[in-house]
Amino acid sequence: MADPELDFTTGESGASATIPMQCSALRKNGHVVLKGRPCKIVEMSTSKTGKHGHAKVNMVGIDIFTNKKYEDMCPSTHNMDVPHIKRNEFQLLNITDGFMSLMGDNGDVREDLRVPDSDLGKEIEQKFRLARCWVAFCRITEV
Amino acid sequence: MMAAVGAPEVISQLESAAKVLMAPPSMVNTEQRQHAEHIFLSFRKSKSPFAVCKHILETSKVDYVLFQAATAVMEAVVREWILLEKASIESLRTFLLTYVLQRPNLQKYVREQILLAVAVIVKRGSLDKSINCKGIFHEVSQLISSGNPTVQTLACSILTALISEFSSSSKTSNIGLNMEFHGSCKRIFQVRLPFLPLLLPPAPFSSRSFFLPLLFPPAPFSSRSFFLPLLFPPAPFASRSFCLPLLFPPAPFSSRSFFLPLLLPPAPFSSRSFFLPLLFPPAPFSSCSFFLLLLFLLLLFPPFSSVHLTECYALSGLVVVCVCVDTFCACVFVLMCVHVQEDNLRQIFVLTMEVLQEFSRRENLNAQMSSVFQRYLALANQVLSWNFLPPNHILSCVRSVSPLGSLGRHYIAMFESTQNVMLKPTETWREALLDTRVMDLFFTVHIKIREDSDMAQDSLQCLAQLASMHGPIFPDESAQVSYLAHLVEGLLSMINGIEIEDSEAVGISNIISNLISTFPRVILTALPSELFTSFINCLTLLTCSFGRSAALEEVLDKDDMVYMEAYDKLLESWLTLVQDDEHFPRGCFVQPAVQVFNSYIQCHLAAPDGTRNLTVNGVASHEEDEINELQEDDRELFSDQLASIGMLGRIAANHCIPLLTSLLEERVTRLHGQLQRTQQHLMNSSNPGSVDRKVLDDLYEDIHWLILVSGYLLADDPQGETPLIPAEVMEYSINHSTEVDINTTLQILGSPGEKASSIPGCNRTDSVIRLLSAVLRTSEVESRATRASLTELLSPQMGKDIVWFLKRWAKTYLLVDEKLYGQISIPLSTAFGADTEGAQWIVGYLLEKVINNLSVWSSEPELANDTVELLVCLVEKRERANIVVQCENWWNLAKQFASRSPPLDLLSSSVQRTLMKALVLGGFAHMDSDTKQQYWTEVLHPLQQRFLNLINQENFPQICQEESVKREIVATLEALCGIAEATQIDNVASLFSFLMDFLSSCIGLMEVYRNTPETINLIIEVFVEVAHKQICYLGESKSMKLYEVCLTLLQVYSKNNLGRKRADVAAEEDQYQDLLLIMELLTNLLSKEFIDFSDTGVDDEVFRGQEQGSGAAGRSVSAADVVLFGVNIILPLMSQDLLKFPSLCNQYYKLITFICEIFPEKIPQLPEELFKSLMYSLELGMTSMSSEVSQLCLEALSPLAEQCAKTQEKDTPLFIATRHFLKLVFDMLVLQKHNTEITVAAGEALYTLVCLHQAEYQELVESLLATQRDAVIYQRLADAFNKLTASSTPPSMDRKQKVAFLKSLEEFVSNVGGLLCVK
Repeated sequence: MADPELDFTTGESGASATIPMQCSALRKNGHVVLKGRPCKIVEMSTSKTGKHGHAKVNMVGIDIFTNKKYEDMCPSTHNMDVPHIKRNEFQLLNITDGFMSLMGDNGDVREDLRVPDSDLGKEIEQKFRLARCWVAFCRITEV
Repeated sequence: MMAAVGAPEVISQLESAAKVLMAPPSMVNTEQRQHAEHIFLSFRKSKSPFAVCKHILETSKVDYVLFQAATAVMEAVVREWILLEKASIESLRTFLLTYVLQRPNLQKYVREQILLAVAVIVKRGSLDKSINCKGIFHEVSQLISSGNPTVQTLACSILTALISEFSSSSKTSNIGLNMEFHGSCKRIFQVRLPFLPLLLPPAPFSSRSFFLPLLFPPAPFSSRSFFLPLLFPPAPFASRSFCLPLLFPPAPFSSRSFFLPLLLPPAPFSSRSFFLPLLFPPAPFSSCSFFLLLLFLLLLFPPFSSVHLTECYALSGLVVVCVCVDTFCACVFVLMCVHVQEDNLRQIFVLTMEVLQEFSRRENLNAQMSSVFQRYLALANQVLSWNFLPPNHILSCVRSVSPLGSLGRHYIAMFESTQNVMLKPTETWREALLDTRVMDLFFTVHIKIREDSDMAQDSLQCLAQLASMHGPIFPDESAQVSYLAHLVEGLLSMINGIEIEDSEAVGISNIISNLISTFPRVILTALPSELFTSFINCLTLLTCSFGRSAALEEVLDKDDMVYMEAYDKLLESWLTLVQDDEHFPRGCFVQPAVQVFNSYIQCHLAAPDGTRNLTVNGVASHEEDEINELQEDDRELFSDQLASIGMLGRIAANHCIPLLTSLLEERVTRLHGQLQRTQQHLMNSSNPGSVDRKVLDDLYEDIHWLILVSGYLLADDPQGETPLIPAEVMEYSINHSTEVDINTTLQILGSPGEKASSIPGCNRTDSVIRLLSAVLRTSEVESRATRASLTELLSPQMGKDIVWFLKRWAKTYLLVDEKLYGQISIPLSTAFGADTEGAQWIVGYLLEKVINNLSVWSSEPELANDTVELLVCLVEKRERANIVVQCENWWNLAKQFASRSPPLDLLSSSVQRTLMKALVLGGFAHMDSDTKQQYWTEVLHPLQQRFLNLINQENFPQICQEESVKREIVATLEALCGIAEATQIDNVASLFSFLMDFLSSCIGLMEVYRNTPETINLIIEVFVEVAHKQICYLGESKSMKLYEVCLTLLQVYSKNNLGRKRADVAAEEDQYQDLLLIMELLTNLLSKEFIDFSDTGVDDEVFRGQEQGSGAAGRSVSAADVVLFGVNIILPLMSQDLLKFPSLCNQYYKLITFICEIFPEKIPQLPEELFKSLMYSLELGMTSMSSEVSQLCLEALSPLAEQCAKTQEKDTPLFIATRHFLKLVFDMLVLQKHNTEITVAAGEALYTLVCLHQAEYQELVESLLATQRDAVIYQRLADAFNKLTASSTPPSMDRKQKVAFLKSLEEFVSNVGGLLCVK
């Protein structure tokens, strides 16, 4: 497994991070790169210019990291980039100074991720204190 | 309580509350507003508020307070009616009336509300005869004759208020009247029933809004119909003097204003009544659409309780009356209601005729006169549009057939839902309507006023109504013939004498369409032949001319497409005319058909042959709009028009088929040339954007319409039937078969790449085959262009048209079955019959087309979809599939798809699914066993192999998130859905075992992809599809397997999702989709209980015996287990937020009710937590969801209570729960203002619960009685409760007793409902 970038919001790993795919083969709930951002497709529709025109695909995607909304339209014969999305599962071992110690499936431990600054983060901390055993999920993307 | 406080304090309190309510939102907060609302609410509920209200009315200056005072009086009068002195009621009424009379400047809504109170008093009084209606009418007629416009308006308002009060019961409940009143009405109704025929003339009640609530027999409102005759005994006043002032209301008076007050108060009403929110929904929501919606609901969900239905109709009637009608209609409405007796209706008509006659003689009409004229015309229209109901004895027959009246109701609903009321008067109208002068008058009137588009609409509508006249009014056929002849003569001379205005088009087409659809063929053919011919000629010219104008409207993109509407109507009439044309002289429609057909084609072709996109002055306009996917394709959008034109084309096949062929062939040649030139141009130019698409687009559009018309002409597309070659087409081909050279025909057919005209002897071909080959030539030009990389230049629309045509054609003509026809055309059977080279060649050609399209057009979802539909059509019939699988191309396609490589993997997922379906269907064609083996090895096994190889890799858990792996998995899952879709009764066995292997592996995937919601979603979908398509065919052991695997799926899902948190935005939607799918799965599994085609009935019975006897012996899992387990998963995930998705909420409660009804015995065995949450769900659904949901929950209670009674165990959790529900249902029925539509469901639930918990029920009754301090009320309540259970003591679970209980419950609710609402 390639070493994933630590700061995942601006991840950059050099390896090919996307694969091209014809617009028509994209699907709702799938992923696509819109305006350079990896997005989950939440809406997809087609349109055409004139009755005898060719189809164009209109897409609305939500950035999987920032939840920002992006829209794009392109001819349906064109290729769009589909990001490699990799979901990894880590077990939470400990929390120190707001950083989590996480163990991956292969036993490697990483301690570079903050407890999210949100309700979810608070809940993680709380539950961790209660049970000392809590499975956290995060997404690491190679983009 | 309010009365105890001094009147001035009350006033000041109310006035300040009104100020708060009326203040803009920024000034007051919600609490203040709620408090103010509460003040008004409790004021209206206060006991005997009459003195205070009088005082308020006399002193307060705040309109809103006046309004509330009027409302309070109205509610209190009804509430305390039996406790009030008759004299004081009478004085109250007089006070209110005088009050209004003396204050001409009252706000309209206050005035209307006070008059409404008067009306309510009159209505209530009419029940026990304490108020003399005659007296009221005497007063009103005096007001009318006063000559003072203000007073006359007031009189009009009083009448309207009365009518509203009597016409619609839901209205009365809105203003606080209660069920007690309806009960009393019903009693009167029952008493009067024997006299009914005396009171009611045969068919008088018809103003739509008026009688809707009246005619539903079982509901309480039916009584209302008998009030009118009671209230309005034959004309106590001279009808003329009474009508006239009403017809010309001097001051603007609008029925709308009547409802204004209801709109004003922000909350008090909505909290009290369920109907208001419906009537005045917060969102902009037109009342008309609401009305339509109601009608829809009624048609869609017939099994609603009777009360519900009535209520809806009452409502819809109300909406129509209150919102849609304008001032004048309101007056006519009053008139018509006053004159409900048919005699009076006729009198109005005769009177109207006189006035119209008078006007039509005048030379000049000034503005005022013409507005009077218009009103009379509209009145005439109202009379002629009167919906004469069938005589009552017919309705009562219908009623007696279905004791619950449901059939009768449906009958009336059907009767009423027809938008166009046909004129069907009784015999008594003969004199009035068969007089030719009546019709002449309307023609004269129309000519006179036709410049005024509003009036012209009325006069044409009158004529259209006259053209729809039928029924007993005609003494015999000859009368009908002469009536029709006169009508047609008048019509022709009118049309010929004028140049039709835009505003007349629809009206005139209505006259013609009514005439053609109403008068039987024999009457039409009995017309003098000259007259008939000129009528047909006129119709032809009119159709062509409207068609041209309609095309013009399209070019100009007009909002109001009047000519299009008129054209549609006329084309529809043609269809009616020619559909059974054997009655008419042979060939009499051929020439007209040629003309109409030609004009249609002309309008749709570009210049120079046609006039498409040409404006009047010959300027072509051409715009390219952005078209989204929601826009319907022309073949759907214009399907009615095309069907008519296709039909006319068949009538004139001799002309039309060759015409289409030559036009299409010529355009295909031009398209070919144009594409070649463009290719040259592109090769010489570096800029591909420089191509002028105008010429190409014009050709595409021409070809588009030619193919559509050809498709509709050559074949029909009946759903679920075997389409036949139209008789006219067959006959045409047979008639010409002697002149046809079959070999040349086949040569033309078999060489789509060559120009048809270049083949020697091309004039001696069968035209039907030639038309198909013209389309094949189009298809060939398209295919060649794609091979020359000119796809960019092609039109996907034309591509769609081609495959659409080929599919429609193939269904009808390919492998034509000679047994289905009396006579068959030799060219057709030689070219396309079974075992012919022609058929094989065509199949091969179509297959090649499909393959080419799928690789070239993967980016055009709709075209790709139409293409795979063509493929499915080729293989879904065994005979065609047999040929298909002999083609090498088919095998190539199968292999290519199995290899999951481009271009097929670029297709959208839905297309891939359908493609998989087609490939599987093809696999069941006739092949020798080796070939079959080989086929499956190449189609299905690669799927399995690749899948197994992938998931069995050791590092699968590590690589599973890689994009290529994910895509492979997704493609497999999609393919599985496609395979499930291909299930048919004869292949289910093999498909099921194939799919089962996958289903188990899919469960493993659930684990692996637990963090990838889109994949999880797809996996569940596979299960849903398999259950949906296969469960009904599965025998016991196989269903069991499916249950087991579904159970495991649910277990894994629940393990992975319980207590899980997700941070991303789409989480809720993902979850919503999962849950919806799971519920769909459970419902599909449950459907086995209703629909079962498997032939293991005996086994099943044996099995059921085991199930009940020794628990789960012999079977590891049952549908009930799976479903209950599924519910167990769903329940904890079903958050209140998710229940806000209406579809999810409904599906959820449907499922729960199903379970309770089907497996009540399983409920007590549920784990405690699950049981609790199920009960909580029921309670929640009953109390705080929509009425539909609460009805579902109530329906679930009876089986549960019965289950308890069966086991006879006390103190089980279910027993205790039902006790709790008893209280809930009791409160709901007795104490709360509930929605009447759930009374029946609640009643049934209550009865079974009472049977179960008699002692608790007694307690409830006693504790309720104990709270009553008023002796009168106490006594009435106690009596009512005694009566309620009298017929069913001791209560037992016996159907007869239950019915008796339900009956007395209805009365009980009417009796006590109102009493207990007084707090």
